[in-house]
Amino acid sequence: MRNRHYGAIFWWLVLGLSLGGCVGPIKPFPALNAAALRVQPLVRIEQGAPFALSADGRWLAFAEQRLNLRDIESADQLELEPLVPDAMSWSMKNELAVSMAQEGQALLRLYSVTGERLFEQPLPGRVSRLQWSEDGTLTAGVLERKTYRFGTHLTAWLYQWNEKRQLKRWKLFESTINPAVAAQQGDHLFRLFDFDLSPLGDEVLLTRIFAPPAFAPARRLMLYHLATRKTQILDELPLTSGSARLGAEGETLFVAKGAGQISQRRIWFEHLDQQWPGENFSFSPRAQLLLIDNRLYNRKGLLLELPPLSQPRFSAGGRYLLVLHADALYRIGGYPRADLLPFEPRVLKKLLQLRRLRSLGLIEPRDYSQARERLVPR
Amino acid sequence: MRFLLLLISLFVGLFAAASLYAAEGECLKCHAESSANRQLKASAHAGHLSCADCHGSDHQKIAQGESFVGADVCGRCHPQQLAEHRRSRHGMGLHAGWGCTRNMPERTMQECQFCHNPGDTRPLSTVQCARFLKQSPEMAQIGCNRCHMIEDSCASCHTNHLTEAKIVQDPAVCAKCHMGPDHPQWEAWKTSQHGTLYPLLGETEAPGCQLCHMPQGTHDVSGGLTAPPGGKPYQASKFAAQRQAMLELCRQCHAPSFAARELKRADAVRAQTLALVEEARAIIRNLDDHGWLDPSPRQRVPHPQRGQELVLDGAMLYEDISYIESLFFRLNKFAAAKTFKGAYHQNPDYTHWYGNAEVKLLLNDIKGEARRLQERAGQGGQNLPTRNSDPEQTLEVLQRQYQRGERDADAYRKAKQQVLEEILEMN
Repeated sequence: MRNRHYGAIFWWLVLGLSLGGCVGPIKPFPALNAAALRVQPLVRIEQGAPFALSADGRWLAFAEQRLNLRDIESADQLELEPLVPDAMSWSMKNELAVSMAQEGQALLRLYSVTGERLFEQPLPGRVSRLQWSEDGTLTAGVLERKTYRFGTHLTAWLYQWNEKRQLKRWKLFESTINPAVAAQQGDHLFRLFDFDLSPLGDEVLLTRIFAPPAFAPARRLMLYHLATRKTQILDELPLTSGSARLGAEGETLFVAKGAGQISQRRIWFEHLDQQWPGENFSFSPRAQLLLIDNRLYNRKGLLLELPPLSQPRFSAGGRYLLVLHADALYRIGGYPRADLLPFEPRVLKKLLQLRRLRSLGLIEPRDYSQARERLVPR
Repeated sequence: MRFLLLLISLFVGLFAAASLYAAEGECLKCHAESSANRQLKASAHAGHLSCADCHGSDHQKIAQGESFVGADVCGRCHPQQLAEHRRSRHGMGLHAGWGCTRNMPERTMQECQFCHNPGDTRPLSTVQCARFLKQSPEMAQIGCNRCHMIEDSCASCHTNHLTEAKIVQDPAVCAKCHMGPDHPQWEAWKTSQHGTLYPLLGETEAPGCQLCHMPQGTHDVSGGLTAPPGGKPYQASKFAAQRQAMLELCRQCHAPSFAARELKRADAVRAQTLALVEEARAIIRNLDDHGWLDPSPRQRVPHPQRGQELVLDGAMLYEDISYIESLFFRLNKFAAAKTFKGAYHQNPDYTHWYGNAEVKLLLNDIKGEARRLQERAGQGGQNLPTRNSDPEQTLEVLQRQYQRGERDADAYRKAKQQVLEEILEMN
């Protein structure tokens, strides 16, 4: 009887300690080397849980077994979905797009900050990434797969909804991959397909999965023009590591090949403009900020160094950094930005026309660069 | 010792015969009365091959048509014939046959295996037939594959189970595919002096197809031909060797100078015909450069390989094109082919009336239609303008003219710069 009593006390202690660990105060963020920064602790979160911060920095979406939406000002929190999404992204108008795998297909949902469902669309396949444009266009990269005895056939689609939720779609590529690679990647196959819509909205950078029986598997980095449907091979990435993004105005390319280097070059030219050491990176085209591992750069150089092992991510638009450090999320704001001004409509129209001609191969990249210099002097 | 060897040989022989019998027995339970079995028993393969040797033993696969007996199966015992076939024009039949499976209406194992070995994404041959890609599966099967399957099917000529040489030594076996408006080789030969004498006097006095194109039983049917499909001659060194090979055959019956002169005349007819084809092609390209084709390639169902481009070469379609292009298709694919196939097969009527006269009449029709399209566009009787108001279309025309060699690199660059200037200065 006494033993049972002691046992109960022991388990209450264990539970109490573990709960105390979860709800106790978040540790202060280590001191940073920039004075004007505002750092705010937000919430405890598990390692590897997906999270995203709205453009105005007030709304946090994060998923630990279920998808939650948290108002940072009031600390109110509500559950949006009972599962972890494949992809999520905030628009500049604080709408949250979320995609989940459900019954063999993808389910795309759009939420307001009050948790109201604004839009819903089932899609065949799995969504690999969601991306919002400045004008309210939502773009989704979707990978469909069919398994045959001799291999797995992949079809990559780009779905795009304008502000009125009218849909357009493009088949970006088809690829048959050998059974060994398909089995090895399993459910992660859809993560190997990645895309980045140009800030001008006319071109898409994409990774084409390539794994036929007689060749080493890899991912081809390609540029696809949405109107002309012309494709240009730019580079090659390892199958499971590395990534690529388009830079400001869609003229530069950032590439990491999983070899500890991130390089920047002009899209249609071979020579490198710049290189940084690092593995993971993201680029915020509007804010023109580059995040490499735990370091934040602007066009002039290093802006901010976060503690080692921090996992920072841009909010929509790049106004804030959302940082996973130790077991908590922090919001950092107040760093200098040089937000890109939109092009004049007349200049934008000409640039789009020139980019179209370039994609069709009717003008050379050099012709395009010279013409662009005259339209948009540095 | 000798007795022991004899005994072992006897056992091995008996075992092989028993295995063959067992395998045969399994199939013959149902197929004993089939024409396949009757023909096999009467063939040179009887007693040497069981059904399973060629068809395999997976009955379900066979029943589903997935156990195609390709040329490689025959090549196991006939390697020299297979090697000759593979390097010949017949061995690259798919160049004009199948399209990539992803363009096929039904992606089944059968379709895949026509171009790929199982598990291999590399196609067995380059595939490039736009006309095939436009066909329904049924039409593609009968109208395209029955001939173009020859790349991988010895049965195309030899039939499935018969082995008698007389089947494949008869010119009629070639007629299945080498006839009709696009390449009437059989008709041209049949109604020539050679074809008239052949059934009366036999091969000693007049050649059939095989004597000239498969001399001494070779399976390389490309020997002695001086042009690949399409009519443009091979480059000089290859041409000379091929011509010499054909002359060696002709001189078995004819004086060498006579044969050389006749073939040279046929060469001249071919060159003259190709010049007329080129004239017609230039007229249509020029109309397209100005956007006057009706419908223009940009307004039609895209070409399955080249999209919204004007296609007047070997990948040209006979559907979803403008009227003037259909006139050109007849001129190039039918009339021009009849002219020089007729000339090389020594057939005067094919060369002249079915061929040359038709080429010239169609060229006349093309010129008339071009004038009509020009007049409709408000350019009647005038020289065609050199510029288009749409910069993209202008750049396309400039590029096409450069690719066709009508503009040199410098002129192309300057004209392109001028268009770019206009774009930059436009409001």
